[in-house]
Amino acid sequence: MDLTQIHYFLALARTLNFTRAAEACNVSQPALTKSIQRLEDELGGPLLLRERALTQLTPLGREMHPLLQHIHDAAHRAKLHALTMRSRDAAPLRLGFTPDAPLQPFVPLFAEMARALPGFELRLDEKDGARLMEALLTGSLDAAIVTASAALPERMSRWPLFDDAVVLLSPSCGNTESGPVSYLADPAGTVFETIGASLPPARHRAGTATQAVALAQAGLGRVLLTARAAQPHALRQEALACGIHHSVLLAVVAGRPVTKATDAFLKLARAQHWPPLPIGERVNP
Amino acid sequence: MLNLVLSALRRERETPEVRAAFEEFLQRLGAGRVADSALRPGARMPDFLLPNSDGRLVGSDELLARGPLIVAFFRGEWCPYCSVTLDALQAVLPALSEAGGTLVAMTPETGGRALAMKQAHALGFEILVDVDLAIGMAFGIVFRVPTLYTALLRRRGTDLAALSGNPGWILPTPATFLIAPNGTIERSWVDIDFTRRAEPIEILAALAELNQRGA
Repeated sequence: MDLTQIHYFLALARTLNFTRAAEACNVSQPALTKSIQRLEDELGGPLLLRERALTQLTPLGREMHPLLQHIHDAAHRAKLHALTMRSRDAAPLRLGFTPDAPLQPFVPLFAEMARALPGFELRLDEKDGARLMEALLTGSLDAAIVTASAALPERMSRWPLFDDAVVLLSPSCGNTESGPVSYLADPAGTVFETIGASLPPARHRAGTATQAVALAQAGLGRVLLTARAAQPHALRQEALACGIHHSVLLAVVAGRPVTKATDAFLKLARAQHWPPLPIGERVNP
Repeated sequence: MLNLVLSALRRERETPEVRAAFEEFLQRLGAGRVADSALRPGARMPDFLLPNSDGRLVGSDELLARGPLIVAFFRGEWCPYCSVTLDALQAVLPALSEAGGTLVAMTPETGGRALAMKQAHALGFEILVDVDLAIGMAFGIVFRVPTLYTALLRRRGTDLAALSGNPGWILPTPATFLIAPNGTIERSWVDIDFTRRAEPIEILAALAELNQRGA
């Protein structure tokens, strides 16, 4: 298949009219028809049904439409960005994380992008699942790192990247038998909330991970973090709070124009060999 | 000779199911269809910036700066013909390097599979991840896997959608291109029959010829 064939098909799927599609693509109708036929030969069946004045997609056409759109977008982007491969690009990568999605594994990717892309700028944010989706949909974020617990609308393209797990961290010195547990304040729908519900109630409560870590480091209790988060000093992994792993995913809005920086990040993240889960002691559920 | 080994491998693997899938493959994609859309000698190579197996972004500009470039497309570790070909290319790598050539392999497989491939074959050349086969498309060598072959792969547990992170069940024709330092395609080896590959000795000869012409 080639980009021209796909381009013509997408125009047809949009207009459902051979004449208008040919006009939109600046090509003669016979040329468009011939090109579509070649694509149909490759795909093994008709993509469009021409019935008198009505043109519609066949079941195969409907099945192939999102796939061809995705392939077209990726190829089109590569072409576009190739022209300005090494030039400074004003558009930053705006990346959001849910509170239970780890930042640490991505730091080497940001460093690599800073090395390879002149003028690369990064904007990070952290939001709960619902607000993160909203930010993606309204276009104030380019991509998001979420855990499988975040409900992803169908409009999102998503790729699982690696597994993570929630661990209980205790002060390295001191008694971990007793002592209340301080938790992350749990925004709705994070993995921490699910795990936290099965543990004894905490005496202290922190508002953020940073606050919870500080309390734990001072010996005021234990803290839930994910295994892939940066390991704070003076704390040690006690055990998996729960034996279940969860998936960390990359999400973008399907079909959106993607900046050069975002495109590079998506490629790096999807291609990456992620190291195995850094788990110490394991507790079976 | 690489292709002798590959034909022997093919004979070994052929079952009625495989033959039927292969026939459908050739019928849908043969008759010059893929060869028609592939970039030809004289055309300019598409620029690219892709992640390598170690998470580094590698640009076509830096590759061409080293001299003539050989771009070889692969289907993945699941493909036994790719596996044999990778080993054959590794074997001629010293000769290629001595002739000033840089070899780079393209794979559509994401999720760290490029690194696994590099390590499995102890490869001394770059493997780049052509995510969503965007560069393959630019070279004109991408196709949708036909029905019987799709069923065959699925039965073998090879889920191309999972391996590439792209739901489209598309593959590259395992083509090879020799590119001059100015970015012009000098020679191409494009065969829809994925059991046939560019003979390493031919690649070396083409590289020698390019050097002689002082391009």
